[in-house]
Amino acid sequence: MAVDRELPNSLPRPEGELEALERAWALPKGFRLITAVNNQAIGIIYIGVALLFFILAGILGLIIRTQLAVPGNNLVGQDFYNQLFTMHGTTMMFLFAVPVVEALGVLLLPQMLAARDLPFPRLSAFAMWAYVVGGLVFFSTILYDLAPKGGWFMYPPLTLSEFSPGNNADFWLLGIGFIEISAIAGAIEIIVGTLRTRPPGMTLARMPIFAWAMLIFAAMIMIAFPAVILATMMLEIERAFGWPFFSAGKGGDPLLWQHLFWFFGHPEVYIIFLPAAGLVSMIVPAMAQHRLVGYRLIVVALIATGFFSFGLWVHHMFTTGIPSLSLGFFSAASMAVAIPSGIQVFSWIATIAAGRKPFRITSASLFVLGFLFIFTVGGLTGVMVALVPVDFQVHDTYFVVAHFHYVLIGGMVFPLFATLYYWIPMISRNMLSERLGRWVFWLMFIGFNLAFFPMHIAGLLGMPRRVWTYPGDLGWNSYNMASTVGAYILAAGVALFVIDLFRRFRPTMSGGVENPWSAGTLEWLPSDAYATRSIPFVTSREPLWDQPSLAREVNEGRHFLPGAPTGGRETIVTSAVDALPQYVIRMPGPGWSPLIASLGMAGFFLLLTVKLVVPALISGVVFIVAVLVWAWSLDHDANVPAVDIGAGIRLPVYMAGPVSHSWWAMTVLILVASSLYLAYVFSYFYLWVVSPDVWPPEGSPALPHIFWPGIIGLLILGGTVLLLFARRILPAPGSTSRAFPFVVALAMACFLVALTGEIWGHWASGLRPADNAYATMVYMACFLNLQVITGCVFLAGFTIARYFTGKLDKERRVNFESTALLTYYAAAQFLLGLVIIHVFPRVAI
Amino acid sequence: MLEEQRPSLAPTFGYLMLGSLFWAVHLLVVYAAHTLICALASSPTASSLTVVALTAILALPVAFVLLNQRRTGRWFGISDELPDRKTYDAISRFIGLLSLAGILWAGVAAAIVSSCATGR
Repeated sequence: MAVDRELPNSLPRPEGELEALERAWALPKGFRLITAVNNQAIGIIYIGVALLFFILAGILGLIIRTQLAVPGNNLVGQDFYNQLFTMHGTTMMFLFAVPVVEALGVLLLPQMLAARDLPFPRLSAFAMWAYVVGGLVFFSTILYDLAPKGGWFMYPPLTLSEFSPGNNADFWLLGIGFIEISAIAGAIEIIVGTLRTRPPGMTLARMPIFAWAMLIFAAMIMIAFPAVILATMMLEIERAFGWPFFSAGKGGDPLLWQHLFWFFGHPEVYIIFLPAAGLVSMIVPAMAQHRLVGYRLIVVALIATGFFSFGLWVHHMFTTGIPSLSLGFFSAASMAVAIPSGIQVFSWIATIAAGRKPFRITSASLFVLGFLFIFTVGGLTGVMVALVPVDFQVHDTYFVVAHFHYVLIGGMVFPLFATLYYWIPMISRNMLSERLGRWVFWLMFIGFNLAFFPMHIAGLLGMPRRVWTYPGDLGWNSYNMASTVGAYILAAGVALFVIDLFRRFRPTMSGGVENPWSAGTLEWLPSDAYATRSIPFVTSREPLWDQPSLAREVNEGRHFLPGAPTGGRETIVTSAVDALPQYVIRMPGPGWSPLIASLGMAGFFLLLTVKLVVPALISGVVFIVAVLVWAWSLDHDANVPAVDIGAGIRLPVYMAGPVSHSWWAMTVLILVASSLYLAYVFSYFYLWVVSPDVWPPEGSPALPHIFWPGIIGLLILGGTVLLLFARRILPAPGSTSRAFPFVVALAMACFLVALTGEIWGHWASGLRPADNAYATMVYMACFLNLQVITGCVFLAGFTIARYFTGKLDKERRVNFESTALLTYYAAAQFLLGLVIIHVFPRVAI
Repeated sequence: MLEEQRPSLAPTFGYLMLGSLFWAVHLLVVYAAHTLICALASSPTASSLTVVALTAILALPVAFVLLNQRRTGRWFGISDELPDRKTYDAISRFIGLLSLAGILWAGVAAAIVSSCATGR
């Protein structure tokens, strides 16, 4: 027996310690299971629903392929075909690919980081339920002939109300906006979780590659998704109220939509791919029984891919009449992104080659090898379409369809299946069948290549995408028939997988198969509903390989936080770079509020889509009440003594200020809001470049006198100063400060008066939002300020309520800090807007 | 356990991603400047010269960082005693190299294609 090292905690452990831990983390029973917030429970449901959407979208794909199997087919009509390809693409991208990756993050990240859960478990639950409810309602539109039909990128002017009447496009716009909110909620959770809940000793340089990938994935969501949220808001506003963002006749530009959509849409590909690559980087070392070759280079590749992916969006617009030199910039960036992708491929191959034992061929490794082949082919055709002249030729043909299916299915679906075969033993009493797994792989691999490779040739022969049928004399028939046969073989592979899943998958939190792959990372430690019995001290990237007794030590409770010292759910928060313990976070347990809030939000968006305003408002109120109930219980009592986590370390259980996780979450949310506003700023200047003639003084009424924005700016600054003052007069614990609620309310009043004044100033000048593109941008700035200020007012009201109930003071001040942070941001956004709206037109050439 | 003794996140990530940030700024400014000059002044020569100048201006600091990696790290508060210092240096260096290649690669376009003519 190995000699024990000096560990944070000693044996024997106090009586009742384990039982207290089990009590704190117990899952609700029976139907109340839907109130669970444990990451394993949420993660399993999340992944299950994402796979359901994968199958549903796959069925739509099969109908498409059946329709195209022979020329002149009339299995489905043209209009329904349009709905089919729109819903196939939308569902695969928005309801399967991104959510399944977030779901894997929710499930795997806490296990890999040996955290008891992510820092905001109810936010994870809310993100998941919002996605489930919104996704199912959105998908069901295909059953009622209400599905959108403008393609998954919904280009105007086709999607403007003149050319797409009815509610179909609105379902897309509001449904997608709603699902994106869910994705952003998940991203906030992942960023704060990855940076702040790593185990002691797991510095940034020791993080599992999957954690790096998820961190970059979430950061990319923060930057990319707001652009499409803004775009969907603008298109919906134009459809509903006629504000001409995209109507060329009034100075708008349909290409603005393309810029905003693809600024999201191209990074989206890497948002999907990077986590998948991260998963492969975890599987390959385990199967090769060798450390990942080039860990640092893989991190470089992940960061560089994340950055470069934001410089590629225009390659979707090469044929729209952009100056040649711009095409050159984006063509160069599109080729440059192949380098970091190549680094990863070579690193995986090197790891496979470096293993002392032969690379184990399991179902998971087969899917990894299949991924390497398919993704490389997709990458090569990607370099081809990055070349402007080639893109001109193959734009909107089946060559592009083939390319992106090679990239997306190769780069994401194959790694996902590898992931399922590899990690299901962690959460199931049984492994999936290796014998059937090989059948699944070969059916999928052969079926995929048969389905999609011929599309390259069909595309080169000129077959355009999105045609519902084609004449039989163009030489496309045999390629289409081959593609259809391949699609059915691919579907057979997926069906076999589903059968095996039903046969073998028996979810559990405590009786998973014990490290079947002899992997080196923490998710293979023995675990239960509370995750690991104690939180390990980590000294390397593959702790299970370098500390052979770690599993036993952790399970005996000899590492950190082996119990539940406050009697509730807790995990350790560590510093972001070097992972030193900072405090113990108390987390909420099961509750109905995330589920009810998601139902309320879904009801609000979807009922609004069908113009049922009163039920929509009631749903909105349900959402707000549920969120208030949820938030009321979050800011715990600050006067709880520090707890001993082991090694003589005593940590506080309450933290406010820049160290606290809530401060980090609000900061991330503000970054999302600022991304959205920057997308607006881009849109403003873009439309000005396109249509300077509708800007004042010639094209629109004169701006309000310069004193007007000056007074508004002073009001904003005054509100900010008042809030800074409110911070100083926060009452000491147990005492009161009569001025505090008054000062906070006055600060909010300043913001509201400023916003009203800004709107009134433009209205009084005779400017109306539907006049022209300039007017829409002016009122859009007001609308975006209204959004943020509404958030501030709600938070301020909440803070005042906390004060009057004795739950806010100088120590217990997290609620106030969140309000203050958002309000400072609102002030900055408002002031920047004033400069753009009131100063720029006066100085522009 | 004192907070002030620890490397903070923003400077550490700033150091790691320094090259990429320069690359992003380069793409942003050459695209914006070139589009504006072509749209408002219709001057291909001015546009191309601006792109070349911006490329040089932004490539130089990246090259400087690559040649002075450790010193740059110290500017960002990455202490020489930090256990993972070499890893951070290596990541920053490789990202800088890739970014420099990206900046020059995009800038070269100014020498090859006509600046303001529409691509199609």
